Amino acid sequence: MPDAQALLADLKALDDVDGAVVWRTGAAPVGDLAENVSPVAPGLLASGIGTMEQVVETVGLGHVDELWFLTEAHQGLAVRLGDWQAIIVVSLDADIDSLRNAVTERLERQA
Amino acid sequence: MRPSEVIEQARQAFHEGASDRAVELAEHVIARYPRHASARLVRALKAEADGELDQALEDLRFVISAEPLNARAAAATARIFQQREDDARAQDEARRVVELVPDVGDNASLESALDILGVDADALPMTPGVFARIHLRSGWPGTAERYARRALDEEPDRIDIRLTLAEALWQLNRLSQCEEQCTIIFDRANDCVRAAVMLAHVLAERGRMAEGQDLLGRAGEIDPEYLEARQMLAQLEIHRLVLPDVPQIDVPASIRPTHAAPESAPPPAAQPDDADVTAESMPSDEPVEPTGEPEAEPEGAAFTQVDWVRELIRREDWREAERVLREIVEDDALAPADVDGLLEEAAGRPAFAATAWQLLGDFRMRTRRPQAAAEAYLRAAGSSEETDA
Repeated sequence: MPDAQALLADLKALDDVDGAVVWRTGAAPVGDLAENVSPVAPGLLASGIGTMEQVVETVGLGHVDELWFLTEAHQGLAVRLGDWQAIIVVSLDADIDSLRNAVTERLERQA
Repeated sequence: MRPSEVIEQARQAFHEGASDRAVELAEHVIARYPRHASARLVRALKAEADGELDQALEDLRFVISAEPLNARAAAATARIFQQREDDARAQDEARRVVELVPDVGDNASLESALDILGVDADALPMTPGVFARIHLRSGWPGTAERYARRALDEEPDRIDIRLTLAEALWQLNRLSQCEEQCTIIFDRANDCVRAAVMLAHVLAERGRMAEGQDLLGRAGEIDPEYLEARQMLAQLEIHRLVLPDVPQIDVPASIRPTHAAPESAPPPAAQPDDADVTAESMPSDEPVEPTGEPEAEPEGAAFTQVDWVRELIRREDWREAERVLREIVEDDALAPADVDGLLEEAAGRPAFAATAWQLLGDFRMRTRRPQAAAEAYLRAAGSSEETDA
């Protein structure tokens, strides 16, 4: 899907972004992550976030707009806007707030 | 060659009048899988044609126990009772054939049944059993359950109706009630594959994985490719059962059909007369498009994209198989359960497992089933690691 690929390239071009995954509801995810991770990593991340969204909705907590995770080496941020969803993986010292704004802005352009 | 492919060729040979070759192919499968229901059915039909009715009935009883919804087996049983002038049982079996609502491609079974019942199709009564089957096949398990219960009130010994009820309950996720029905089915038909698959799933859901897998393994003695299991489990968003790889079986040249597959085999006269050479050992160098009219297709049958991808997988043409499967995943033409089943079948080939699981993950994301997609992607990751190792 050209739109998804363009958005992916856009996100990857952001400062401090090491990897990104993008998908639209009803389409398969596309991603560009570090070379040493599994080739199915974009799919796993997307389906994992999708599952988490379902869980949150099922327990009656509403619709997820953003999810943030932190590991010993990375931060991850998933943002949904309408049918579009993006995940970025960034280093620990990256400014996640400004990146959140940048991702949201790009998703708004897409929507 | 998969056992089901051998049996398909046996069936084709039988319909073309080459019944000796048909039974040779069936016996070849039975030698490896003595409880293979489809092979036993071919052998039964040959015995029926030869007038060896006791032998035919013995195989048919086994087939009906394993597959209570098998209309061909029920129709053959009805014909044998008719030959024996046991009209009451012949009519009971014929009625059962009608209520099984045979597939569109199985007109012969329905015609046999109508002939025995002495009625035209438009004179058939619409019984609760018929409605139960139709509603279940139409994807309405709730109404199927109600009709099946009404039918069982009238005929509580009908295993095929009880199996319809069990499947309706299973689809409604009422697993305890489904288990209860499956237990009753096993009392009367202890080889029933579909009941075994449902019960295996119920056990696995309760954390009794080993028992579930063991039960599934018993079904695999009858259906070694787990075709029924794959088709049934594909309806679930997620399950914990592990389906073994699809087995392959060598067919000696002496009984190999002369027009087996729409591809690689050279003309019969050019085939080496070497009993050790199998169909798999003669790959085609040239890609063959699924167009045209390959000799192997039965008259009137369409060679579909699904047939083509199965053929590519059989030939181990992984790159082309991936391309065609990707098209299938993206064009939304097939029902999700069918695509799931096809990809799970493809994932049964170790060399292709990682790709097939990944495609299944993509497909499940497309069809908005992220949890099931995660399961498929995890399997893709596991298969990649195994391949790398």
